[in-house]
Amino acid sequence: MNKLTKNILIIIALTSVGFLLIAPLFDQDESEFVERVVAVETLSVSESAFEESYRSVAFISPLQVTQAAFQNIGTITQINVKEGDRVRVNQVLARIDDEQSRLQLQNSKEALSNAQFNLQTAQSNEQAQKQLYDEAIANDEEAINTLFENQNQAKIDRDIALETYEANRDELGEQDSETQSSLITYNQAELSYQVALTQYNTALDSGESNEVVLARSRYNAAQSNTNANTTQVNIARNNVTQAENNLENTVLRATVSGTVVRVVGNVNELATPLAPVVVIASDELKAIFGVPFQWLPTIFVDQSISIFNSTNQIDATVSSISPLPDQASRTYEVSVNLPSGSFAIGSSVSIDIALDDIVGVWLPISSILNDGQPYVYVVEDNRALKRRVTLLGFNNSDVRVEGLTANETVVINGMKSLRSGTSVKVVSQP
Amino acid sequence: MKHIVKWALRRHLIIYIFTLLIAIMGVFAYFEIPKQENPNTNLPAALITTVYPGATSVQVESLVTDPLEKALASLEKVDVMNSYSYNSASVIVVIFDIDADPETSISKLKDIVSKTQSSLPSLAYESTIDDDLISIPSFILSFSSATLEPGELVSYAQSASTQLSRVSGVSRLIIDGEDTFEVLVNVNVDALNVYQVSIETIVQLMQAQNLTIPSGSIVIDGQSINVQTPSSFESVKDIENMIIKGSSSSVGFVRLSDVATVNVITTSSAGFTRNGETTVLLTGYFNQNVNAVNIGNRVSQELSRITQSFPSSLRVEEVVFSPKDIDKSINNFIGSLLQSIALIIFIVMIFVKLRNALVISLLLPLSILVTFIVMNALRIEFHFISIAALIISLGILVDNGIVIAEAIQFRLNEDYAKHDAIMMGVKDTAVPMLTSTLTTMVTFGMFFFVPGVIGKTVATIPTIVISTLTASYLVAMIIVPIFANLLFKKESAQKIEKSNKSTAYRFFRGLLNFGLKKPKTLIALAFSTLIISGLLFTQLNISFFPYSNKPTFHIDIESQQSNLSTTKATHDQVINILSEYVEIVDVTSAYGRGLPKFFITAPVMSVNESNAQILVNVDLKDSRFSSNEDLGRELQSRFNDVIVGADVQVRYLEYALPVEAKVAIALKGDDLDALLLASSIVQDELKMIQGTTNIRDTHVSSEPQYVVNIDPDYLSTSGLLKFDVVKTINTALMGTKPTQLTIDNRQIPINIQADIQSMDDLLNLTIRSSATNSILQLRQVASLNIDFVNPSIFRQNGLRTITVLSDVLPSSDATSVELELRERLALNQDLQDVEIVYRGELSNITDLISNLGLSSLAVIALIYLILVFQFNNLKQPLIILASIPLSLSGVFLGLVLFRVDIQAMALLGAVSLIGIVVNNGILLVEVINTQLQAGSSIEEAIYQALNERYRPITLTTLTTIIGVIPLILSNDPLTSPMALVLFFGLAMSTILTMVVIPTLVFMTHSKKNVVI
Repeated sequence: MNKLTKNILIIIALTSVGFLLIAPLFDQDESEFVERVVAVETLSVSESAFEESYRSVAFISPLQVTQAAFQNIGTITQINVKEGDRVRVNQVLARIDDEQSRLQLQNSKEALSNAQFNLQTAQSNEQAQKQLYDEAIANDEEAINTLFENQNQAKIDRDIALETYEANRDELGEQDSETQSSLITYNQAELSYQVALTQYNTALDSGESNEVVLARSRYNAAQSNTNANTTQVNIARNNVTQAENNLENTVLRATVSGTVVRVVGNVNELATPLAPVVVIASDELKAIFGVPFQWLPTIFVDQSISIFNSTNQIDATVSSISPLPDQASRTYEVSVNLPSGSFAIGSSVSIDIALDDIVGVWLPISSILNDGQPYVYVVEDNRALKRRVTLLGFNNSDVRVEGLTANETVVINGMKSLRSGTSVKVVSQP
Repeated sequence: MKHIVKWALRRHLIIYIFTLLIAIMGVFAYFEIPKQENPNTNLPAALITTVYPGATSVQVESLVTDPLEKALASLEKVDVMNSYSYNSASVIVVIFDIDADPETSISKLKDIVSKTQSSLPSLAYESTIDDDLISIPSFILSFSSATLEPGELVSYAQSASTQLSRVSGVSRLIIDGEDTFEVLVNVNVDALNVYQVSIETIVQLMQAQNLTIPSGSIVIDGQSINVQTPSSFESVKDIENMIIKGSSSSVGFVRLSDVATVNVITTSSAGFTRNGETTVLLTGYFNQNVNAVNIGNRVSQELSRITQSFPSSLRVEEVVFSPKDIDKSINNFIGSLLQSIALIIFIVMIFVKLRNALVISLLLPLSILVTFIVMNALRIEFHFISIAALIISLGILVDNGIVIAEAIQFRLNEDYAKHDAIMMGVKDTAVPMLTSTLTTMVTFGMFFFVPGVIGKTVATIPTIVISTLTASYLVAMIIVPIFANLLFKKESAQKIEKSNKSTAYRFFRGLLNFGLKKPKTLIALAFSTLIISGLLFTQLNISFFPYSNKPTFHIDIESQQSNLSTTKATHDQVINILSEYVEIVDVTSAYGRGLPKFFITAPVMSVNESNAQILVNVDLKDSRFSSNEDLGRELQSRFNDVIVGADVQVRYLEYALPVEAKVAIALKGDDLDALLLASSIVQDELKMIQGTTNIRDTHVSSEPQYVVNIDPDYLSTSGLLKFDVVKTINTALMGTKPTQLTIDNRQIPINIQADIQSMDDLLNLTIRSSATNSILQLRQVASLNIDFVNPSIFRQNGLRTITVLSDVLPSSDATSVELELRERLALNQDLQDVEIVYRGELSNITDLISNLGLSSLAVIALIYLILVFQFNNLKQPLIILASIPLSLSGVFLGLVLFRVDIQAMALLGAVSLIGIVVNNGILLVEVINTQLQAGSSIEEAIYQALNERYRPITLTTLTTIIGVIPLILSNDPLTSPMALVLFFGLAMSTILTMVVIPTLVFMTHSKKNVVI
């Protein structure tokens, strides 16, 4: 080993020792290494129910809207209501000119009283003729009764004569005078009886008497006269009624209780049956809303429905569903009858039809991440772990997922700073 | 040169006058030189923002970003083009090369963007281009008060702004925090359904209102008098009463108030606070290339005048007032400069006679004043870099004076007549001085070619050093001889003897004795020092650009939810934590956007509901925290502990952007799935490598979004057009401003939007068919689904980019991790479609070192050529170049001793040493050669060289290293490491050069003898 090599070796040894002594001084300058811990908010997994419902907005309108118009044509003379007035049934709303109608009524009444007088006369006559006729019939019957009684008497007489003869004969013998005389008496009685019977039968056979026939035709004529007059009276009375109606029709009355929503006519204007003068909305209300066809299968008549606004809430049922869609909006009108006064007419209300409850694990939408497939971060041993989930459905703010078990801790805020395995610190558990 | 000096000696009066003239012009120039805080290192860049309301990030990417990117690809000199496609907006950042001409580049870019507009979707808004990324405000004032209303603050700020705008040199004033108003027409979706109205109808009716239709005129007595019928809205009531639908069934006219609420609101998408109070910020810009300090003084004066009339409850505070900082830092540096001059003069005086020292010292102010003239002429600004350059050159430029003065003195001592001594001195030194000056210039000239931000930062250094050195050479050659003629005298022999016995001389002599006896041992010693210091050097941390030493840092907040109230809550949480620290003097913050650019490299956060930024000024006197970073580290860990759902980052003022992580691998490609696969492969591989942790990528996970699926079949039968659906949803969700409300000549935009708060609300939205006018609900034609999209898509130069990041445990290092990763990835077949760019620490080191290394090699080659010319020899220059590695051991030791991180500026300092250290070698070898030619033996020649040159070499070295001491002590994060490197590198190399170079000459010479 020459001197040079030795020197070099010594130098290297010395400097190495120096280096080893100095080098550790510089290590402390390295900034301390600290594992990153991410603060997160979490949620404990549990199943919960979400009540699915159909929500929409309905428009409150009167159950019915009546357009009150005069039946007659005439000039409006009076309008008693203004828009917004409350009216009851039969309340006078307006009048038109009634002079014509009154005159008509008067005339028709006069015609009626004339007709009534005529009828009375006809009826009296009919009464008299009826009496005569009745009398004629009675006379007829009396005559027949007399003949009947005659015939009966004759028969009795004959029978007595016969008995006498037969008694005489039996007692006295055939030839006895007394028998003979009784026989003669009997024969005479028999003849009388035969005459009386014939008279009676003839009377029966010959029917009514001419008096009766005459009386009857008189009576029938009187009857016809009465009928004709009765018709006249009826016509006259109808005329009166009509005139009375006409007079009544000059007054426009409310047919429903409700609110005057519009006064269309004006005084001195001509009113016709086609031109409504006042529009009245009924006090009973209905809520109407359109349902798109997609939802139609879930909605049916008598279904419970909650109707509410900020101040009022009413549970009602669906009253009707229009079978045809509205041309403009393509929705099917659903109507719900509501009691009067429940909501203001023209206001909008919210409706809520409860449908099924959906049970499952619901998580905030924002907690779901995706790297091609959806996942969430769960916290295990203070570390974030990626957990694949399947999305089953969603509502306004939450998603229903599959792939988590109860009581697992899911990160719902701060997840974007996480990677699988990141150390986490749970800050709060809302 | 000889002739010039001869002429000058005859006409010395002219030289005196000329000197005086230079002095006057230099002083004048000093006051005229533009002054600013930092060198302008911003690259020309433009930010192109295109809003496409309601579109998803993917749609934005394909319909907006992509066409724009393709069109912009034709731009030349683009350094990098980054694009961010967000939901509803596309942001493209084009950064040009540093050598691109800002004006033409930007105007070309504007041209391209405006031409591309027609191919963008019609619903997308016109792209806006922000090319004002470069200008930095000179001051930010806050107007805050506990009692005044925000509106009042704004009006005070406006009055201040109006008055400050009259101050000359103030180019632009901007008020932030001003409330803007709008009339919000919030349309109720339920009411739209009830009345069967579409929001689009309202918009159209409003638009119709906006038309100002001329009414005509009436002619009265031959005079035509115009009639005007104002049609616009004049009150909120006007708007509410607007009829939007005719009568229907039993309902009368539908007015806007039936379906919407109308309110005048402040659109508070952003706000500012100062120490907890709402504040208004007034940001001021100065003209370019001006003396910011002067303007700043005028602004301060004007401001104190203005604020006198303000109520006492109004506080006007300076958030940033850079003229003061500039003034302070320039004063500091001028202080350092003066200290350096004093120190150098002091050193010169110790070593040379007072008379000589006076002449040499004359060189300093003269050269500096000449440089001021050059700086003013070239409009080179005063900032800490240019002043540092001046200080560095001080030590070098005095060398010329010392050398020539010594040469003249040497000849005088040899009993030459004054004129002859001077002429001989000039003749002796003209060439070697030119050579050494040239080598220094060449070295610093290399700074011109340093790329990137570093290059731009140091761009003023070569100009200044070259002009100072040129000035110094000329002054040394022409003016020094004139004054030498006036003042120099022959030294006594006793004194010469004394200097030969000085400690330094004996030290060098002793070393040289050892070297000549055991040349190999000496060389081995010298180079083992280098190796050891090099080993120690590798233990240092790397931080290319250090943090600024201003007592300021900022906190950037990015909320994960894009909603202002969440962001504000996080912002308040942060401010609460900050309030616990007495060290924090004041806090200025912005939420919903970033603060105005408050520092040259501070990133400007865009106006975005998820952004907030807090600027904190601290006072660490008597604090338990030793530095900004110390306090910042504690704050960061507290934020990490409690803040959920937001990225809160404490950031320090830096001179360049930080690296994302020690290991960073950018993956680029078109196919996102391939990129994601590649990312997971890279992450898996990283996990296999020892020492890695926090492995992650920059890919943003997809977020859920509602997708409106329009049923085309039903759509075709419903009479609705897809446009109707899309447009209505867009208006309902994003709002639209069809017209404005005019109150007191002020126009307030009317914003119509729907109060959609849930999925159901959206589905209930009414849509009017523009073809049939029928009104349908959205749910009749569409269904909602949940889909996942990327909230933002990042592309670089047109390619989707995902960066995989990993931190490195202290037990390992980034370089070995990255090398192992490269090896592993090279074998992987699945990564062929993906472009892999390594961007971690290793590539930063290799980038800089390769840049610096290449430049250094070029410099060394140039210096070699110069030396070959001078010595007419190929071998000797090589020996001289040996001083370069020797200086490195000093550099390494200096950094290690002061535990300074490895920094770009320090490395630049090391490179600039090249030119300085070879000078010593030149001077030595020059004498050895002369002596050898004169017939001396090699030993004699070497000792003679030491005799003759040790004084100028020691002196020049001392002046240089003493000159940079004030710079080291100033503790400036950028310049002090550079000065440190110069100090130690030069000191070490001088000591070694004095011995190693002669030894090397001796070794090569003796070998030659053996051969002969």
